[in-house]
Amino acid sequence: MENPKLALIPSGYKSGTVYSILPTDGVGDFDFSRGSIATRVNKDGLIETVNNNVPRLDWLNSDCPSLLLEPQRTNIVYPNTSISAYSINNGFKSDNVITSPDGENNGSLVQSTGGTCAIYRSFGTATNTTYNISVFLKKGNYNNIRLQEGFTGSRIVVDLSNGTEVASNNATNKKIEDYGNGWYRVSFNYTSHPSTTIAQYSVYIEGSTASGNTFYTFGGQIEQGSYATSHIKTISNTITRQRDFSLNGGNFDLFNVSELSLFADVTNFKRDATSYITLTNGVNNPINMVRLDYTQNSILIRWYNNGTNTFGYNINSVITNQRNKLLLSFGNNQAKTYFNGILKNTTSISGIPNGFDSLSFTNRTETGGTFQGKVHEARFYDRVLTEDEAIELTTI
Amino acid sequence: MEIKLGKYEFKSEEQALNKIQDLGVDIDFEGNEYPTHKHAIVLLGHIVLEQGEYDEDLEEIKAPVLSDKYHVDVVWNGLESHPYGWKTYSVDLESEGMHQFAGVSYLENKM
Repeated sequence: MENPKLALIPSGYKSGTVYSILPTDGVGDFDFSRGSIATRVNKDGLIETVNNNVPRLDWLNSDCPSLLLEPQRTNIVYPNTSISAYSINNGFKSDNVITSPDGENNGSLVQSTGGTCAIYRSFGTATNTTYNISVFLKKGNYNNIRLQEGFTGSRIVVDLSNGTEVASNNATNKKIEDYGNGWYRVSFNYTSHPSTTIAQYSVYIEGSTASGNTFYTFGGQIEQGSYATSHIKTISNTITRQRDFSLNGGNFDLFNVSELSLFADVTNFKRDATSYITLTNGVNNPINMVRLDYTQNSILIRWYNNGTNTFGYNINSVITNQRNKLLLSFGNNQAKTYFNGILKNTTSISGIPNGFDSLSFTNRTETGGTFQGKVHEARFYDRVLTEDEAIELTTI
Repeated sequence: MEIKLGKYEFKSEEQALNKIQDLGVDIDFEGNEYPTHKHAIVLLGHIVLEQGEYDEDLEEIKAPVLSDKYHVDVVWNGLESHPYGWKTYSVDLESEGMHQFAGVSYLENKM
Protein backbone atom coordinates (compact mmCIF):
# COMPACT_ATOMS: atom_id res chain seq x y z
CA MET A 1 0.00 0.00 0.00
CA GLU A 2 1.28 3.44 -0.92
CA ASN A 3 2.46 5.53 2.02
CA PRO A 4 0.09 8.05 3.59
CA LYS A 5 0.95 11.75 3.49
CA LEU A 6 0.60 11.89 7.27
CA ALA A 7 0.96 8.99 9.66
CA LEU A 8 0.73 9.31 13.43
CA ILE A 9 1.80 6.10 15.13
CA PRO A 10 2.49 7.21 18.70
CA SER A 11 6.11 6.34 19.42
CA GLY A 12 8.21 9.50 19.52
CA TYR A 13 7.63 12.66 21.51
CA LYS A 14 9.19 15.51 23.40
CA SER A 15 7.71 18.12 25.68
CA GLY A 16 5.12 19.96 23.61
CA THR A 17 5.26 17.67 20.56
CA VAL A 18 3.97 14.31 19.39
CA TYR A 19 6.04 13.18 16.41
CA SER A 20 4.41 11.73 13.33
CA ILE A 21 6.14 8.98 11.40
CA LEU A 22 5.25 10.69 8.12
CA PRO A 23 6.05 13.12 6.68
CA THR A 24 9.67 12.99 7.77
CA ASP A 25 10.17 16.76 7.63
CA GLY A 26 8.15 17.33 10.81
CA VAL A 27 5.19 19.02 9.13
CA GLY A 28 2.90 16.28 10.41
CA ASP A 29 3.96 16.59 14.03
CA PHE A 30 1.29 17.53 16.55
CA ASP A 31 1.50 20.31 19.12
CA PHE A 32 0.83 19.06 22.62
CA SER A 33 0.07 20.74 25.92
CA ARG A 34 -1.12 19.86 29.41
CA GLY A 35 -0.80 22.29 32.30
CA SER A 36 0.00 19.68 34.92
CA ILE A 37 1.92 16.52 35.58
CA ALA A 38 0.09 13.26 34.92
CA THR A 39 0.61 9.52 35.05
CA ARG A 40 0.82 6.76 32.48
CA VAL A 41 1.61 3.06 32.44
CA ASN A 42 5.12 2.69 31.06
CA LYS A 43 6.63 -0.12 29.00
CA ASP A 44 7.46 -2.05 32.17
CA GLY A 45 3.81 -1.98 33.20
CA LEU A 46 4.39 0.48 36.04
CA ILE A 47 2.51 3.70 36.71
CA GLU A 48 4.89 6.57 36.04
CA THR A 49 4.60 10.35 36.46
CA VAL A 50 5.38 12.55 33.46
CA ASN A 51 5.92 16.32 33.48
CA ASN A 52 3.72 19.14 32.29
CA ASN A 53 3.31 19.23 28.48
CA VAL A 54 4.82 15.78 28.02
CA PRO A 55 2.60 13.51 25.89
CA ARG A 56 1.68 10.24 27.52
CA LEU A 57 2.43 7.09 25.58
CA ASP A 58 0.49 4.53 27.54
CA TRP A 59 1.27 0.79 27.56
CA LEU A 60 -1.55 -0.48 29.79
CA ASN A 61 -2.35 -4.04 28.72
CA SER A 62 -0.71 -3.55 25.31
CA ASP A 63 2.51 -4.38 23.51
CA CYS A 64 2.27 -1.12 21.56
CA PRO A 65 1.85 2.32 23.12
CA SER A 66 -1.05 4.61 22.42
CA LEU A 67 -1.37 8.35 22.89
CA LEU A 68 -3.49 8.86 26.02
CA LEU A 69 -5.75 11.92 25.85
CA GLU A 70 -7.84 12.63 28.93
CA PRO A 71 -10.03 15.46 30.20
CA GLN A 72 -9.34 17.49 33.32
CA ARG A 73 -10.16 15.49 36.43
CA THR A 74 -9.79 16.09 40.18
CA ASN A 75 -9.13 13.26 42.61
CA ILE A 76 -10.79 14.17 45.90
CA VAL A 77 -9.38 11.16 47.77
CA TYR A 78 -6.23 12.03 49.68
CA PRO A 79 -3.74 10.82 50.55
CA ASN A 80 -3.87 7.86 48.19
CA THR A 81 -0.35 6.55 48.71
CA SER A 82 -0.99 6.04 52.41
CA ILE A 83 -3.98 5.11 54.57
CA SER A 84 -2.54 6.28 57.87
CA ALA A 85 -5.05 9.15 58.07
CA TYR A 86 -8.03 6.89 57.29
CA SER A 87 -10.41 5.62 59.94
CA ILE A 88 -10.54 1.87 60.44
CA ASN A 89 -13.08 -0.36 62.12
CA ASN A 90 -12.11 -3.75 63.58
CA GLY A 91 -8.65 -3.91 62.15
CA PHE A 92 -5.25 -2.34 61.83
CA LYS A 93 -3.46 -0.79 58.89
CA SER A 94 0.15 -0.46 57.82
CA ASP A 95 1.66 1.69 55.09
CA ASN A 96 4.65 0.92 52.87
CA VAL A 97 4.46 -2.84 53.14
CA ILE A 98 4.29 -3.94 49.50
CA THR A 99 5.29 -2.80 46.02
CA SER A 100 2.37 -0.93 44.50
CA PRO A 101 1.49 -0.54 40.78
CA ASP A 102 3.87 2.45 40.57
CA GLY A 103 6.81 0.23 41.51
CA GLU A 104 7.40 1.92 44.86
CA ASN A 105 7.09 0.29 48.27
CA ASN A 106 4.00 2.33 49.11
CA GLY A 107 1.17 -0.21 49.09
CA SER A 108 -0.80 -0.51 52.34
CA LEU A 109 -2.02 -3.52 54.29
CA VAL A 110 -5.37 -3.86 56.04
CA GLN A 111 -5.87 -6.70 58.51
CA SER A 112 -9.06 -7.53 60.39
CA THR A 113 -9.13 -8.08 64.13
CA GLY A 114 -12.61 -9.60 64.25
CA GLY A 115 -15.91 -8.03 63.21
CA THR A 116 -16.71 -6.05 60.07
CA CYS A 117 -13.38 -4.58 58.98
CA ALA A 118 -13.32 -1.42 56.86
CA ILE A 119 -11.20 1.62 56.16
CA TYR A 120 -12.94 4.86 55.28
CA ARG A 121 -12.54 8.61 54.90
CA SER A 122 -14.89 11.44 53.91
CA PHE A 123 -14.52 14.10 51.26
CA GLY A 124 -16.66 16.96 50.00
CA THR A 125 -18.59 16.42 46.76
CA ALA A 126 -21.38 17.89 44.70
CA THR A 127 -24.88 16.44 45.10
CA ASN A 128 -26.70 14.29 42.57
CA THR A 129 -23.72 14.14 40.24
CA THR A 130 -22.03 11.29 38.39
CA TYR A 131 -18.74 10.25 40.01
CA ASN A 132 -16.33 7.42 39.42
CA ILE A 133 -14.71 5.69 42.40
CA SER A 134 -11.66 3.47 41.99
CA VAL A 135 -8.91 1.76 43.92
CA PHE A 136 -6.03 -0.64 43.34
CA LEU A 137 -6.46 -3.84 45.33
CA LYS A 138 -4.33 -6.93 45.80
CA LYS A 139 -5.24 -10.15 47.55
CA GLY A 140 -3.74 -10.83 50.96
CA ASN A 141 -5.05 -14.02 52.54
CA TYR A 142 -8.71 -13.26 51.83
CA ASN A 143 -10.41 -13.00 48.45
CA ASN A 144 -13.56 -10.90 48.61
CA ILE A 145 -13.19 -7.14 49.06
CA ARG A 146 -15.81 -4.43 48.75
CA LEU A 147 -15.26 -0.92 47.37
CA GLN A 148 -18.05 1.39 48.49
CA GLU A 149 -19.27 4.96 48.56
CA GLY A 150 -20.92 5.02 51.95
CA PHE A 151 -23.58 7.70 51.69
CA THR A 152 -25.25 6.16 48.64
CA GLY A 153 -24.45 2.52 49.43
CA SER A 154 -23.00 2.19 45.93
CA ARG A 155 -20.61 -0.72 45.88
CA ILE A 156 -18.92 -3.58 44.13
CA VAL A 157 -17.54 -6.76 45.66
CA VAL A 158 -14.64 -8.37 43.83
CA ASP A 159 -12.85 -11.68 44.13
CA LEU A 160 -9.16 -10.76 44.10
CA SER A 161 -8.08 -14.34 43.46
CA ASN A 162 -9.23 -14.02 39.85
CA GLY A 163 -10.34 -10.41 39.30
CA THR A 164 -14.06 -11.07 38.94
CA GLU A 165 -17.16 -9.34 40.24
CA VAL A 166 -19.04 -11.07 43.04
CA ALA A 167 -21.84 -8.57 43.60
CA SER A 168 -22.70 -4.90 43.21
CA ASN A 169 -25.32 -2.31 44.04
CA ASN A 170 -26.02 1.16 42.55
CA ALA A 171 -22.89 0.75 40.45
CA THR A 172 -22.56 1.27 36.69
CA ASN A 173 -19.66 1.14 34.25
CA LYS A 174 -18.00 -1.42 36.51
CA LYS A 175 -14.42 -2.33 35.64
CA ILE A 176 -11.82 -4.67 37.07
CA GLU A 177 -8.51 -4.11 35.27
CA ASP A 178 -5.44 -6.27 35.70
CA TYR A 179 -2.34 -4.17 36.48
CA GLY A 180 -0.04 -7.15 36.99
CA ASN A 181 1.66 -8.59 40.09
CA GLY A 182 -1.74 -9.45 41.54
CA TRP A 183 -3.00 -5.85 41.52
CA TYR A 184 -6.43 -5.01 40.12
CA ARG A 185 -7.88 -1.58 39.58
CA VAL A 186 -11.54 -1.73 40.57
CA SER A 187 -13.87 1.09 39.55
CA PHE A 188 -17.51 2.00 39.03
CA ASN A 189 -19.78 4.99 38.52
CA TYR A 190 -22.31 6.17 41.04
CA THR A 191 -24.61 9.13 41.44
CA SER A 192 -23.79 11.16 44.53
CA HIS A 193 -26.30 11.66 47.32
CA PRO A 194 -29.16 14.05 46.48
CA SER A 195 -28.65 16.21 49.58
CA THR A 196 -25.44 15.21 51.39
CA THR A 197 -22.38 17.02 50.07
CA ILE A 198 -19.98 14.36 51.31
CA ALA A 199 -18.65 11.17 49.81
CA GLN A 200 -17.42 8.37 51.99
CA TYR A 201 -14.66 6.39 50.33
CA SER A 202 -14.54 2.97 51.99
CA VAL A 203 -13.04 -0.46 51.44
CA TYR A 204 -14.32 -3.51 53.32
CA ILE A 205 -13.43 -7.10 53.91
CA GLU A 206 -16.62 -8.69 52.62
CA GLY A 207 -18.45 -11.70 54.02
CA SER A 208 -16.25 -12.58 56.96
CA THR A 209 -15.89 -11.28 60.50
CA ALA A 210 -12.95 -13.51 61.29
CA SER A 211 -9.75 -12.08 62.68
CA GLY A 212 -6.61 -12.11 60.56
CA ASN A 213 -8.10 -11.52 57.08
CA THR A 214 -5.90 -9.26 54.95
CA PHE A 215 -5.76 -7.31 51.69
CA TYR A 216 -3.50 -4.68 50.12
CA THR A 217 -4.61 -1.32 48.79
CA PHE A 218 -3.23 1.68 46.92
CA GLY A 219 -4.34 4.70 44.93
CA GLY A 220 -7.93 5.45 45.93
CA GLN A 221 -9.63 7.87 43.62
CA ILE A 222 -13.01 9.60 43.35
CA GLU A 223 -13.43 11.87 40.36
CA GLN A 224 -16.41 13.64 38.87
CA GLY A 225 -17.10 11.96 35.54
CA SER A 226 -18.40 8.79 33.97
CA TYR A 227 -15.23 6.71 33.80
CA ALA A 228 -12.00 6.17 35.69
CA THR A 229 -9.09 8.12 34.28
CA SER A 230 -5.42 7.50 34.92
CA HIS A 231 -4.13 7.37 38.48
CA ILE A 232 -3.94 10.83 40.08
CA LYS A 233 -1.46 10.70 42.92
CA THR A 234 -2.45 12.64 46.04
CA ILE A 235 -0.53 13.25 49.24
CA SER A 236 -1.73 16.15 51.36
CA ASN A 237 -4.63 17.56 49.36
CA THR A 238 -6.97 16.91 46.44
CA ILE A 239 -5.22 17.07 43.08
CA THR A 240 -6.32 18.13 39.61
CA ARG A 241 -4.78 16.75 36.44
CA GLN A 242 -5.43 19.14 33.55
CA ARG A 243 -6.63 18.07 30.11
CA ASP A 244 -4.44 16.86 27.27
CA PHE A 245 -4.43 19.01 24.15
CA SER A 246 -3.05 17.53 20.90
CA LEU A 247 -3.56 19.53 17.76
CA ASN A 248 -2.19 21.11 14.62
CA GLY A 249 -0.76 18.14 12.73
CA GLY A 250 -0.03 18.96 9.08
CA ASN A 251 -0.39 22.21 7.14
CA PHE A 252 -2.32 23.66 4.19
CA ASP A 253 -0.02 22.15 1.55
CA LEU A 254 -0.28 18.68 3.08
CA PHE A 255 -4.08 18.75 3.05
CA ASN A 256 -4.41 20.52 -0.33
CA VAL A 257 -5.38 17.41 -2.32
CA SER A 258 -7.82 16.36 -5.04
CA GLU A 259 -9.01 13.25 -3.21
CA LEU A 260 -8.36 11.87 0.24
CA SER A 261 -8.70 9.15 2.81
CA LEU A 262 -8.70 9.79 6.57
CA PHE A 263 -8.06 6.92 8.99
CA ALA A 264 -8.51 6.90 12.76
CA ASP A 265 -7.65 3.92 14.97
CA VAL A 266 -8.70 4.81 18.51
CA THR A 267 -10.21 3.63 21.75
CA ASN A 268 -12.78 6.27 22.60
CA PHE A 269 -13.71 6.66 26.25
CA LYS A 270 -17.22 7.04 27.59
CA ARG A 271 -17.09 10.79 27.20
CA ASP A 272 -18.47 13.45 29.56
CA ALA A 273 -18.24 16.28 27.05
CA THR A 274 -17.75 16.63 23.31
CA SER A 275 -14.87 14.53 21.98
CA TYR A 276 -13.69 15.31 18.49
CA ILE A 277 -11.11 14.49 15.85
CA THR A 278 -11.19 17.22 13.22
CA LEU A 279 -9.67 18.23 9.93
CA THR A 280 -10.01 22.00 10.13
CA ASN A 281 -8.82 25.42 9.08
CA GLY A 282 -9.31 26.65 12.65
CA VAL A 283 -11.82 29.30 11.61
CA ASN A 284 -15.07 29.74 13.52
CA ASN A 285 -17.15 31.04 10.63
CA PRO A 286 -17.84 29.89 7.96
CA ILE A 287 -17.54 26.29 9.07
CA ASN A 288 -15.00 24.23 7.14
CA MET A 289 -14.22 20.88 8.61
CA VAL A 290 -14.36 17.12 8.49
CA ARG A 291 -15.19 16.06 12.00
CA LEU A 292 -15.50 12.74 13.81
CA ASP A 293 -17.71 13.27 16.86
CA TYR A 294 -17.31 10.40 19.32
CA THR A 295 -20.49 10.32 21.40
CA GLN A 296 -21.52 7.81 24.09
CA ASN A 297 -22.51 5.15 21.58
CA SER A 298 -21.96 6.49 18.08
CA ILE A 299 -19.57 8.33 15.81
CA LEU A 300 -21.12 11.28 13.99
CA ILE A 301 -19.25 12.13 10.80
CA ARG A 302 -19.74 15.62 9.42
CA TRP A 303 -18.22 17.48 6.49
CA TYR A 304 -18.95 21.21 6.31
CA ASN A 305 -17.91 23.19 3.25
CA ASN A 306 -18.09 26.97 3.56
CA GLY A 307 -20.85 26.74 6.13
CA THR A 308 -22.87 24.06 4.34
CA ASN A 309 -23.29 20.57 5.75
CA THR A 310 -22.12 18.67 2.67
CA PHE A 311 -21.93 15.16 4.09
CA GLY A 312 -23.15 13.44 7.21
CA TYR A 313 -23.24 9.86 8.36
CA ASN A 314 -23.66 8.27 11.80
CA ILE A 315 -22.05 5.04 12.85
CA ASN A 316 -24.26 3.65 15.57
CA SER A 317 -23.81 0.96 18.23
CA VAL A 318 -20.22 2.00 18.87
CA ILE A 319 -18.96 0.51 22.13
CA THR A 320 -16.93 2.88 24.26
CA ASN A 321 -13.63 1.76 25.75
CA GLN A 322 -13.15 -0.61 22.83
CA ARG A 323 -10.69 -0.11 20.02
CA ASN A 324 -12.27 0.83 16.70
CA LYS A 325 -10.98 1.68 13.23
CA LEU A 326 -12.66 4.18 10.94
CA LEU A 327 -11.73 5.22 7.42
CA LEU A 328 -13.37 7.96 5.35
CA SER A 329 -12.58 8.44 1.69
CA PHE A 330 -13.65 11.28 -0.57
CA GLY A 331 -13.12 11.11 -4.33
CA ASN A 332 -14.60 9.89 -7.61
CA ASN A 333 -17.79 11.77 -6.60
CA GLN A 334 -18.26 9.44 -3.66
CA ALA A 335 -17.81 9.52 0.10
CA LYS A 336 -17.20 6.09 1.61
CA THR A 337 -17.22 5.15 5.27
CA TYR A 338 -15.53 2.00 6.53
CA PHE A 339 -15.77 0.87 10.14
CA ASN A 340 -14.06 -2.14 11.68
CA GLY A 341 -13.55 -3.87 8.35
CA ILE A 342 -16.98 -3.16 6.86
CA LEU A 343 -18.01 -0.68 4.18
CA LYS A 344 -20.85 1.01 6.06
CA ASN A 345 -21.90 3.72 3.64
CA THR A 346 -21.42 5.12 0.15
CA THR A 347 -22.83 8.56 -0.62
CA SER A 348 -22.67 10.58 -3.85
CA ILE A 349 -20.94 13.91 -3.39
CA SER A 350 -19.65 16.72 -5.54
CA GLY A 351 -16.19 17.97 -4.74
CA ILE A 352 -14.11 16.93 -1.76
CA PRO A 353 -13.26 18.49 1.60
CA ASN A 354 -10.45 20.99 1.18
CA GLY A 355 -8.86 24.14 2.55
CA PHE A 356 -7.71 22.63 5.81
CA ASP A 357 -4.41 23.26 7.55
CA SER A 358 -4.48 20.90 10.52
CA LEU A 359 -5.62 17.59 11.90
CA SER A 360 -6.51 18.08 15.55
CA PHE A 361 -7.88 16.08 18.45
CA THR A 362 -10.14 19.02 19.28
CA ASN A 363 -13.08 21.00 17.97
CA ARG A 364 -12.72 22.91 14.72
CA THR A 365 -11.50 26.12 16.41
CA GLU A 366 -8.95 24.06 18.34
CA THR A 367 -10.09 25.58 21.64
CA GLY A 368 -11.98 22.71 23.24
CA GLY A 369 -13.85 19.51 22.46
CA THR A 370 -10.67 17.60 23.20
CA PHE A 371 -10.73 13.95 22.19
CA GLN A 372 -11.05 11.58 25.15
CA GLY A 373 -9.45 8.25 24.51
CA LYS A 374 -6.39 6.46 23.25
CA VAL A 375 -5.02 7.16 19.80
CA HIS A 376 -3.41 4.07 18.33
CA GLU A 377 -2.90 5.50 14.87
CA ALA A 378 -4.08 8.24 12.49
CA ARG A 379 -3.38 8.53 8.77
CA PHE A 380 -4.14 10.92 5.93
CA TYR A 381 -3.82 9.83 2.28
CA ASP A 382 -3.99 12.00 -0.82
CA ARG A 383 -5.94 9.32 -2.65
CA VAL A 384 -8.98 7.12 -2.27
CA LEU A 385 -7.98 3.77 -0.85
CA THR A 386 -9.36 0.78 -2.70
CA GLU A 387 -12.07 -1.21 -0.99
CA ASP A 388 -9.64 -4.05 -0.32
CA GLU A 389 -7.08 -1.66 1.18
CA ALA A 390 -9.71 0.08 3.29
CA ILE A 391 -11.13 -3.16 4.64
CA GLU A 392 -7.66 -4.51 5.41
CA LEU A 393 -6.69 -1.31 7.21
CA THR A 394 -9.87 -1.09 9.28
CA THR A 395 -10.18 -4.74 10.23
CA ILE A 396 -9.72 -5.18 13.97
CA MET B 1 2.06 30.86 28.33
CA GLU B 2 2.55 32.40 31.77
CA ILE B 3 0.28 30.95 34.44
CA LYS B 4 -0.99 32.30 37.76
CA LEU B 5 -3.00 30.44 40.37
CA GLY B 6 -5.91 31.79 42.33
CA LYS B 7 -8.04 30.43 45.15
CA TYR B 8 -11.51 31.84 45.72
CA GLU B 9 -14.32 31.57 48.25
CA PHE B 10 -17.72 32.50 46.87
CA LYS B 11 -20.93 32.91 48.83
CA SER B 12 -22.69 30.19 46.88
CA GLU B 13 -22.39 27.78 43.97
CA GLU B 14 -24.67 30.01 41.93
CA GLN B 15 -22.40 33.00 42.43
CA ALA B 16 -19.34 30.95 41.46
CA LEU B 17 -20.98 29.63 38.31
CA ASN B 18 -22.05 33.13 37.31
CA LYS B 19 -18.49 34.38 37.71
CA ILE B 20 -17.21 31.51 35.58
CA GLN B 21 -19.86 32.17 32.95
CA ASP B 22 -18.67 35.78 32.82
CA LEU B 23 -15.20 34.57 31.79
CA GLY B 24 -16.65 33.66 28.42
CA VAL B 25 -18.67 30.86 26.95
CA ASP B 26 -20.07 30.38 23.51
CA ILE B 27 -22.50 27.97 21.93
CA ASP B 28 -21.48 26.21 18.77
CA PHE B 29 -23.70 25.65 15.75
CA GLU B 30 -25.00 22.40 17.27
CA GLY B 31 -25.94 23.93 20.62
CA ASN B 32 -22.93 22.70 22.62
CA GLU B 33 -21.70 25.22 25.16
CA TYR B 34 -17.94 25.63 25.41
CA PRO B 35 -15.64 28.06 27.21
CA THR B 36 -13.91 30.65 25.07
CA HIS B 37 -11.07 31.04 27.58
CA LYS B 38 -8.18 28.68 28.30
CA HIS B 39 -8.15 28.88 32.08
CA ALA B 40 -8.38 25.67 34.12
CA ILE B 41 -11.14 25.85 36.72
CA VAL B 42 -11.89 23.41 39.52
CA LEU B 43 -15.11 23.61 41.50
CA LEU B 44 -14.22 22.38 44.98
CA GLY B 45 -17.57 23.29 46.48
CA HIS B 46 -18.16 23.21 50.24
CA ILE B 47 -14.93 21.60 51.34
CA VAL B 48 -14.58 19.33 54.39
CA LEU B 49 -12.86 21.27 57.19
CA GLU B 50 -13.05 18.51 59.80
CA GLN B 51 -13.58 14.81 59.19
CA GLY B 52 -16.72 13.17 60.55
CA GLU B 53 -16.69 10.21 62.92
CA TYR B 54 -18.61 6.96 62.36
CA ASP B 55 -19.27 3.77 64.26
CA GLU B 56 -18.52 0.30 62.93
CA ASP B 57 -21.79 0.27 60.97
CA LEU B 58 -20.69 3.62 59.52
CA GLU B 59 -23.48 5.41 61.33
CA GLU B 60 -22.54 9.01 61.95
CA ILE B 61 -21.28 9.82 65.46
CA LYS B 62 -20.02 13.28 64.64
CA ALA B 63 -20.86 15.09 61.43
CA PRO B 64 -18.02 16.42 59.32
CA VAL B 65 -17.62 20.17 59.35
CA LEU B 66 -18.08 21.75 55.94
CA SER B 67 -17.09 25.21 54.82
CA ASP B 68 -20.08 27.51 54.33
CA LYS B 69 -18.26 29.05 51.36
CA TYR B 70 -18.13 27.65 47.83
CA HIS B 71 -14.50 27.12 46.90
CA VAL B 72 -12.99 27.44 43.43
CA ASP B 73 -9.36 27.09 42.29
CA VAL B 74 -8.17 28.47 38.96
CA VAL B 75 -5.08 28.32 36.79
CA TRP B 76 -5.13 31.61 34.93
CA ASN B 77 -3.40 31.37 31.58
CA GLY B 78 -1.88 34.65 30.41
CA LEU B 79 -3.41 36.87 33.11
CA GLU B 80 -1.39 39.03 35.48
CA SER B 81 -4.26 40.01 37.77
CA HIS B 82 -7.66 38.73 38.85
CA PRO B 83 -10.39 39.14 36.26
CA TYR B 84 -13.02 41.78 36.98
CA GLY B 85 -15.20 40.75 39.91
CA TRP B 86 -12.96 37.95 41.20
CA LYS B 87 -10.47 39.75 43.46
CA THR B 88 -13.07 40.35 46.19
CA TYR B 89 -13.44 36.60 46.60
CA SER B 90 -9.79 35.63 46.40
CA VAL B 91 -8.00 34.18 49.41
CA ASP B 92 -4.29 34.36 50.13
CA LEU B 93 -3.02 31.16 51.73
CA GLU B 94 0.32 30.50 53.38
CA SER B 95 0.16 26.88 52.26
CA GLU B 96 -0.86 24.95 49.16
CA GLY B 97 -4.36 24.57 50.62
CA MET B 98 -6.60 21.52 50.38
CA HIS B 99 -6.40 21.33 46.59
CA GLN B 100 -3.52 21.50 44.14
CA PHE B 101 -3.04 21.30 40.39
CA ALA B 102 -0.76 18.32 39.81
CA GLY B 103 2.85 19.43 39.85
CA VAL B 104 2.02 23.15 39.97
CA SER B 105 2.75 25.02 43.20
CA TYR B 106 0.18 27.58 44.34
CA LEU B 107 2.74 29.32 46.55
CA GLU B 108 5.17 29.73 43.66
CA ASN B 109 2.58 30.87 41.17
CA LYS B 110 -0.13 32.61 43.13
CA MET B 111 -1.81 35.66 41.68
